[in-house]
Amino acid sequence: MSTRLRNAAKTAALGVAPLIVLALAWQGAANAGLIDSLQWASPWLVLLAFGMQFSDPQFWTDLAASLVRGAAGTAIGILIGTLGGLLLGASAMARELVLPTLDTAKAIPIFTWVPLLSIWAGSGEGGKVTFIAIAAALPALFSSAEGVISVPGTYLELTRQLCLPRLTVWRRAIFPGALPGVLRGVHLALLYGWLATIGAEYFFQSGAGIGGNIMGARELYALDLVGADMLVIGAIGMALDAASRALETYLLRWQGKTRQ
Amino acid sequence: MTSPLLKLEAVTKGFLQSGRPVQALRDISITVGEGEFVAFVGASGCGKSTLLRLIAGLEAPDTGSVALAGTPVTKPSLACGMIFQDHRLLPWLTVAQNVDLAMETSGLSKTERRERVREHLELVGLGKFAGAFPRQLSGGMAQRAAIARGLIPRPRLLLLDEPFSALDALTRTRLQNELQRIWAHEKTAMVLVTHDIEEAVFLADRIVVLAPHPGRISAIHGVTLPRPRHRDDAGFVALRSALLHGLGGD
Repeated sequence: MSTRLRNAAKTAALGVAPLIVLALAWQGAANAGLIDSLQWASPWLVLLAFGMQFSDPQFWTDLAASLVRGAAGTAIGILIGTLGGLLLGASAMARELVLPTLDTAKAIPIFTWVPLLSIWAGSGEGGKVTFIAIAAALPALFSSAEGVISVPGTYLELTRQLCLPRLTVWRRAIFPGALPGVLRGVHLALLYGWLATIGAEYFFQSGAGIGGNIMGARELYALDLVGADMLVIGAIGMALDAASRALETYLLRWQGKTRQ
Repeated sequence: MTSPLLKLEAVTKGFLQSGRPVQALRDISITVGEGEFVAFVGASGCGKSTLLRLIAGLEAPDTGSVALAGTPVTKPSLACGMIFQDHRLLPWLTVAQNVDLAMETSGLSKTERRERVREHLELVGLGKFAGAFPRQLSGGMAQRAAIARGLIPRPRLLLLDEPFSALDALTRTRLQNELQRIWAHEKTAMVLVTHDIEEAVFLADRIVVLAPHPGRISAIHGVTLPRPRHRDDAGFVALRSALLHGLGGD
């Protein structure tokens, strides 16, 4: 137990070490006047910028707007994508019918949708949330479809032999068997949804948002503020990643990958 | 004797194998009585597993008929349980949940179901493992759980498709002993498919020898050795070698 903790601490320390070295070198170079701190805000300036941002109500308005928008779009995307994926995985006919279309849609880089969406759904919340939902829905759809397809046929034969009703077959066999794929899809959807949230705010420049906040800071040439915002966005991405990993470990504990 | 529990009449079954039709079973006719233990032995490719799948209603014969207790078999029913070669426990359910799954349509109350799961896990010696996940069980324990799941709907006939062939010799022998005990206790008719002649001689009332390509009945031997049987009895050894010679082994 204590050995495991020590090992974990060691791994974390090793992972963080290059970042600390980089920050220190950067700071040293800035102090020595080797780099232009207007172009390359030093770590210390970025740290000070955190203080400025945190005491600025606009920053909190922007962050809240991004989180609400991102959550709404991602939730819609996960819901539609996962349900569609489960259906697609369960029906070979549905796959033959729509997979070519979906593969085409997947091949279109997500930002290609921006001009169309801004006309169809407007460049306000509608366009942004739709954009985020598309970005989140696609990985959720493909992963959950793969999840259903990966359920072994022998398990379905067993449910037939046990004369289980359709609903029980889904509840006890198909859905739990597809769950690793579904959760992988949710994980990707969270990351893509957050990426698309910032992207949407760059491309549809209206309303509050942390992406807009960065663009504003850039207009002012306040690269320290840009740096602080980037760190906040990154921290949220990392939190989403960690949260969905924890969810997977908990819900898939029957796989026993983590030993007690 | 009254009307047979299981009756196969002139059953034929073919498959397409890489585009070519292959006859898996030809003209199989046999009956199994209430509470009887019948073993089908034969080399691989003699259609043993196909035969069980037809009896279970997982597949339909091309010609001929399968009837269970006088009713034609057209789809799976809980009157006929099945133990597969792989234990086929769902890995995301605990042992108790896996066994309980077979009572989903039984209409029993939660407490009755829990009691029956407990009873059947005791029967197969897994009383302490109700809450374990399948990955935590050994191969033999997993197959015991599968036997509990097969028996819990109280089928009139239990089909066993080479249930012990994936286990090590020691575990296999132990489970054969247990199956004999369970069969005597439950009085369920059993049809075992195996390529292990000793297993058949140890467990069965009758041994049906299948010849391959296409699968057909080549001999039927009644086993009159008294139970419980011992693998080193003179009668046991003699019957085993006779069957082995008949199958072309030595």
